[in-house]
Amino acid sequence: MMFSLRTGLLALLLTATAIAQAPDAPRDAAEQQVRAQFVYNFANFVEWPDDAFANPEAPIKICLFGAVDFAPYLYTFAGTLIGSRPLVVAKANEIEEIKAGCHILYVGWDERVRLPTFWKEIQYIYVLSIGDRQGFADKGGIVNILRTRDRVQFDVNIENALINGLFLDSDLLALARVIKRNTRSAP
Amino acid sequence: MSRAPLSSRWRYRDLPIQRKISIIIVIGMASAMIVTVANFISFDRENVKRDLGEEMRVLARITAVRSAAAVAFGDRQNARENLSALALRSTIQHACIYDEQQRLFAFFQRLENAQPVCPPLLDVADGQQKDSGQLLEVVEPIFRKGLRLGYVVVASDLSPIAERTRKWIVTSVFVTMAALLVAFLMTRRLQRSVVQPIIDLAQIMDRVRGSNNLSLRASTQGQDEVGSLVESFNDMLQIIEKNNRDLELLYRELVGKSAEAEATAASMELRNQQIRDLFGSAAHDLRQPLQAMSIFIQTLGKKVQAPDQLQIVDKLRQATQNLSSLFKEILDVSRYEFDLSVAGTQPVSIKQLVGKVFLEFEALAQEKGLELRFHSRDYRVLAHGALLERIIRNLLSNAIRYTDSGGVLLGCRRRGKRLAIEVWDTGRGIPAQKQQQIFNRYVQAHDEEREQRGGFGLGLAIVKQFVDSLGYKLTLASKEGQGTVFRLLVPLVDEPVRVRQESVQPTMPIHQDTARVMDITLERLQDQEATRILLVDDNADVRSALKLTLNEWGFEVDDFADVPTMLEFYRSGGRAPDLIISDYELGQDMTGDRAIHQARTSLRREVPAFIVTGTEDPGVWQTVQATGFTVLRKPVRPARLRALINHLLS
Repeated sequence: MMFSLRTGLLALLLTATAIAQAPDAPRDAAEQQVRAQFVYNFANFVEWPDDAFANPEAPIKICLFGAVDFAPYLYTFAGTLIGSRPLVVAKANEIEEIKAGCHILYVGWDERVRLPTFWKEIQYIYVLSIGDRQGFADKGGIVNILRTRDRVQFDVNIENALINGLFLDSDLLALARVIKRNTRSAP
Repeated sequence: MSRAPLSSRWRYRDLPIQRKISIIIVIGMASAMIVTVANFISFDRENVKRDLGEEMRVLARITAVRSAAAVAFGDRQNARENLSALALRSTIQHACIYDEQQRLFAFFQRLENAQPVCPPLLDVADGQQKDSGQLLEVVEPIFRKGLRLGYVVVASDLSPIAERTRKWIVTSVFVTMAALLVAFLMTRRLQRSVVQPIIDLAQIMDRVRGSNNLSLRASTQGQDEVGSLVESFNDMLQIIEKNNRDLELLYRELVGKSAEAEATAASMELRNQQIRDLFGSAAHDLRQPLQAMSIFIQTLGKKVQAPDQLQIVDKLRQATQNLSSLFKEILDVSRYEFDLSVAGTQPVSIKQLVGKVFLEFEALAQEKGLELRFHSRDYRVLAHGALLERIIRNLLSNAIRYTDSGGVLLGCRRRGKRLAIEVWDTGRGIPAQKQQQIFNRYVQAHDEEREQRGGFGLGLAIVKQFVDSLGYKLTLASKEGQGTVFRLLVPLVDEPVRVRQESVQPTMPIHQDTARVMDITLERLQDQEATRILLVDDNADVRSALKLTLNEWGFEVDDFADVPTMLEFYRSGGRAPDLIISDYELGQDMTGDRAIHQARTSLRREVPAFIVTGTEDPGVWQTVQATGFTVLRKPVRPARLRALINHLLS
């Protein structure tokens, strides 16, 4: 309860500052906050196999690759516990920085040009890849956060999730705008 | 029933037993059913409520789990969809989801256009269950990986409970009624085994009472208390019947015996009457010739000179005397039996009574050469004078009869509150083995002497009979060859009058030597030569015999057969008599006492008088005694006659 209250207050505070600091940002602060919340929520509703962690108390690492405008909001969740695991948020600008391993990888909009080769460069598994561009989920990504007319939603590529050894909560799937499969990769 | 509980309770007592038992069963069962049903319903309500609460909790938890993602991602639509699934459960009236800050996030309510029922802010702590009376509200938190994301509230109405309760009540009423009906019908048959014997018993009792028929029996059906009651009743009836029968038999027997006894008594009475009549008439007829006979014999004794003839006359006199006393004894039995029945006791002076008797026996004793003495103070005893006199007379007569030498003593002495009248004699005594039989009729101490001494043994039997009837006591002591004493105990009235014996009857020196008395008596007779006696008797024989005797004693006698002749005689200047002797029955409407009165009136003098009668009729005898005159009974003994005349003239 205490924790929830604190995060809530923090979120409000941050929303206010974000609006003040970046009035001409491509997405308003509220949306950025929602996106940060979404990313945090995915950590809650996705199950990683035990093999994905060194030990039961090992942290869940969120890697932000490229330019991520809601990163400040996301940092407010850093250190919170998901089950018994603390949440770690790391920012990376080079691909080498994320080779050490991430549980959630958010790919910023500026890195979309590298996408066709990107998936080959990161050859590890158990990664929930989240993007915010059209077709991210079709091109090897798992979750694509997007904005519809009135609200922020997400698409899920369940096949990619399964390939990565992840289990998505059925309730999470129920919220997804579209649940996709890799039709083209199908032999 | 509740309208008039008092009167119905009162009436309950008068109900038949069967109905009472039915009422008890029905009431008992109904109360048991009501308690059970109430208990069951209350238990069931609790159960249903708990089940309902649990169900709501489960639904709330499922909804909470399903809605975690929706709350996390802020997807209100998805949350609403989750909630609307609850609509399938008809009792759920509304459901709400609140976010982590307890703000309303999504809601569902059954009545869509009604006022919103979910408050904008949740004010209930999680896990709580709220029962507002109409609604049951359950709050469940939404958790995801240890983080609380929000709350789910599910509210259900309590209609299932009410519905269930209502159903149960209706069912219970029907079941109870059915159970009561079944119980009533079942126990009706079972009750019969309990109640029927009692009803039967009551009916039998009624019939026994109504018809008085004791042979009826109630039928036994079991060995329980009612059975033993019926058996006891039957046993009782049997005992009563048996007793009744015995009683009836006894009663019939008694009635028969009574009738028999009555008949016997009647015939006996008739016989008795006949005998009495016979005796009465015979006695009256016999007395006259007997009287005449004894007088003639006496006269004959004076006329005869030859010694051998004198001996015959003497024997003749003896025989006549025996005949007379035997006759007297036999007649006395019947006469005194009557006397006894009408007897009343009164104070009697023993001295006067014995004095009268003594005179008679003095002469008799003297004839046998015995000494007769009397020794007593003037005691007064409570007795029937005539009977006591008769007893003493008998005892004295016996004593003299059985004593040949020596004397006889009559003595009285006090024995506490009673007077012992003792008759001593120096006779031959009574053998010990005879002493008990001596009071029986026709028993004599010495059989061989009957002829010689006269008497037929009736004397002591009569004495015994009188003594027993009067409640006296007669004892006997005797030594053979030495003598006998009879002791008669009679109740005393008071202290003896302390007067010297000599002064009581100075003219009757009975205590003196009897020889001298005799002498004096004879002297007197000589002196009274000129004395005149008026004799009235309608029987010529008796009259002439008496006149002859009186003449011989030296009296002048004027004798008359009837009163008018007598009166005529005196009216024409006949010499006045010094003494009047009158027969009692002097023909029609004339009696001795009236004759005496008329003579006295005519003579204008209270001439001494006495009555002689031969009557055997107890009624007449009583009347004669009631006249107040001294009465002698025919046949009159010369000695007694002489003594009485002496007494009256002195």
